Amino acid sequence: MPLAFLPEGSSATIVGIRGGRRLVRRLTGLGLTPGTQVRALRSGYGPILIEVRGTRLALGKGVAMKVFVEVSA
Amino acid sequence: MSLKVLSEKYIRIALAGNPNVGKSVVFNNLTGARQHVGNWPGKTVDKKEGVYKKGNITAYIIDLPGTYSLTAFSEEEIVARDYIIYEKPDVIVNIIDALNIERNLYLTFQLLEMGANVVIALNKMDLAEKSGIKIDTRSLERELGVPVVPTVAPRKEGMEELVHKVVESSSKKTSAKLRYSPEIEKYIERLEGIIRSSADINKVFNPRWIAIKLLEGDNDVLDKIKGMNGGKEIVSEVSKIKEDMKSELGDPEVAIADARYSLISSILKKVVRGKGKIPASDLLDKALLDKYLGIPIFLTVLWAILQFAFIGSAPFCDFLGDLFAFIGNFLTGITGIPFVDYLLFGDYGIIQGLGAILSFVPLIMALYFALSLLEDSGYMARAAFIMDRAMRKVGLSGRTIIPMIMGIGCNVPAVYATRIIPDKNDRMVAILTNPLIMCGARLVFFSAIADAFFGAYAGDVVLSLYLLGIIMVFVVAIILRKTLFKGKASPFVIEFPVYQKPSLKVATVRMWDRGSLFFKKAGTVILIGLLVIGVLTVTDARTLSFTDNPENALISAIGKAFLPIFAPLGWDWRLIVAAIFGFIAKEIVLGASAMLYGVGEEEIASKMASMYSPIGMYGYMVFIQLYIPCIVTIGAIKQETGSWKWTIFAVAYGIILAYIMNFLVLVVGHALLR
Repeated sequence: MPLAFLPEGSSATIVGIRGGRRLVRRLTGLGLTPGTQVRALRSGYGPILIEVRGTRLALGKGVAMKVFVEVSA
Repeated sequence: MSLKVLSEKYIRIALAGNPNVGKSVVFNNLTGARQHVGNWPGKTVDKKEGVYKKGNITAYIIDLPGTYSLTAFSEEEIVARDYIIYEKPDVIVNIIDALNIERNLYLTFQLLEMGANVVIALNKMDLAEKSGIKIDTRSLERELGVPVVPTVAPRKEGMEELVHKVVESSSKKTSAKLRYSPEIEKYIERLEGIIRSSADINKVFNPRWIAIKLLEGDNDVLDKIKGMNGGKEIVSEVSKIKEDMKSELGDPEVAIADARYSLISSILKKVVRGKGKIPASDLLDKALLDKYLGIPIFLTVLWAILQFAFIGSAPFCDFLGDLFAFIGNFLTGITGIPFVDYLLFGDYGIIQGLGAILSFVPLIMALYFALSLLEDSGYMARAAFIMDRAMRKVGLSGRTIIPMIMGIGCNVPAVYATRIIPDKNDRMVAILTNPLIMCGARLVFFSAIADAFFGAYAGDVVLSLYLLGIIMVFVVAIILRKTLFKGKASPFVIEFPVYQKPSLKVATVRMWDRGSLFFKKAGTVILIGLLVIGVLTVTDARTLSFTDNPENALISAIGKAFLPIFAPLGWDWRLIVAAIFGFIAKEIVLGASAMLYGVGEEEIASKMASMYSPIGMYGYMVFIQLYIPCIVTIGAIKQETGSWKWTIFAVAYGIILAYIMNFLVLVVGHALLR
């Protein structure tokens, strides 16, 4: 499912990014690669705030819709 | 301030690192006052250079733009990596945030791939320890093959050690050998072998780095080597190797990024113990990002900043204004030639004009200072987060809120502040719409006039003009997004740095740099503008000789010539001329109209009240609110857009919009009153 729908407080693993070269490049530099664990600190309203590789990143709704995750058990 | 203390022999150091790692503090620690800020040629990216001098060690230090990566993603990244490739600094000091070591090492790896001589400054060690992270710097050194120095930049801890290591590695080449997984290495080595056969390319570039970049599909690097000897063969090989790689490992760029991150993870497993938790930061975020409280808190912070800027700078502003008035009056008559005398020292001469502009410099500096504190504290990213949803609706990025707010103080720093917006189109829209925000100078004129015309409602009238400006920003932004800068605002991605106490020293240095920089850069435009207006004011329209009466001067002739255009708005020629004067600095409109109507500045409002209806005057205020930016803002727009075309566009659309809105005020106003 898209990262944008990840409920607040839950964790997931990135499975892929469906976007242009630029977006992939940008997100890769910030540590968002397939297989990475993310946790949603805030979601639902406007941009989403996640924790990834020990940092906090805010992603706009549009971006968060292009990042696909699998909720970890 | 001079960089000329460089002796024959010195070390060339480049600072590299992610944003928010404390790079500026390290730079200030090393260079002190011996620094210089400018622009990279042809780019809107800051170029900071400085000199370190202690004992017999001299070093030239360049602060590369803060980046997360060294791809061709942004101007900053290209500037940083081109410097490393072509200027080949002796040592690169890579500043790493100890709290955030995993993501930071991603950049480090790319520096090492380039074959750069890296020394790592592991910064924020105090915060890392406090949050429970333990980093074994010795074993990190071993793993990476480059020196690692723990530092706490605000307390200057580790700086001497850092310099020591830099000097040491400047004379010997460190041989860091990062090797990724065999599946990846096989492709890198295959391409590297082919690249090595071209002597020309090897001379300039590190072949391993070129191989990695080409596999990543970096078009900038591709363009660089295409024309070189042996470039064509390499390019044709690249696509073959990439095809093979793709069928085995998927997208090569993602596979390489993956390889970097997995090597980072395996190194960190040996080096780092404990997981960082920063409870204070969590708590602050809970409050500051609250669904209901977030925006009110944000507005309060902004209000406080503007208050600070206006109140803190007022005495200095007044002093500068008075000083120039005094100098002008004092020197009047000194040349003995009336034309020159009036041009230089007269009421609308160059000195007084400079005074009017300079008297805004303290306000501009105060805004820079406050902005720098806000930026360093980590709140800026949160503000962008809070506002992103609303701003996106009109096609602006969340970060645009910062320059918009600065514009309330002064549009000049606001135009420069658009640099925090990474996407070019987003930034252009932000620059072009910013002058519509009512600045402090316009407020001077509006408060005086509103008082006389609207009495008890003066405050509401001024507020309505503020709101009109903001609404117009949104309207124009939407239109620009649908026409000239098609598309949506670029994807919003921003890092939330850990909150920290901002450095007063960094803020002071930045305030000074920015304040003086804009004057150096905009100076020519300002002087030309002042000169033109000055000459027009002291040259008689009929005889083209000197006149001391602006009513007979060229400027009035121009005002009268434009009368047919502005007559539908109910203006007389004096209002036109006053608006032209407003081009220098908006608060001059007040003094200029006083002079043209032959009354003192105290009586001008009541004089106007006797000549114009409230609706007519409100229309004029709307016009002044929206028409051309002042000279200094135009200078800033020229500098930041890098184009006369867009600068002229900003001026032209402003006038047209102002005219239309003024006209609408009259139509609607009279219809309502009938």
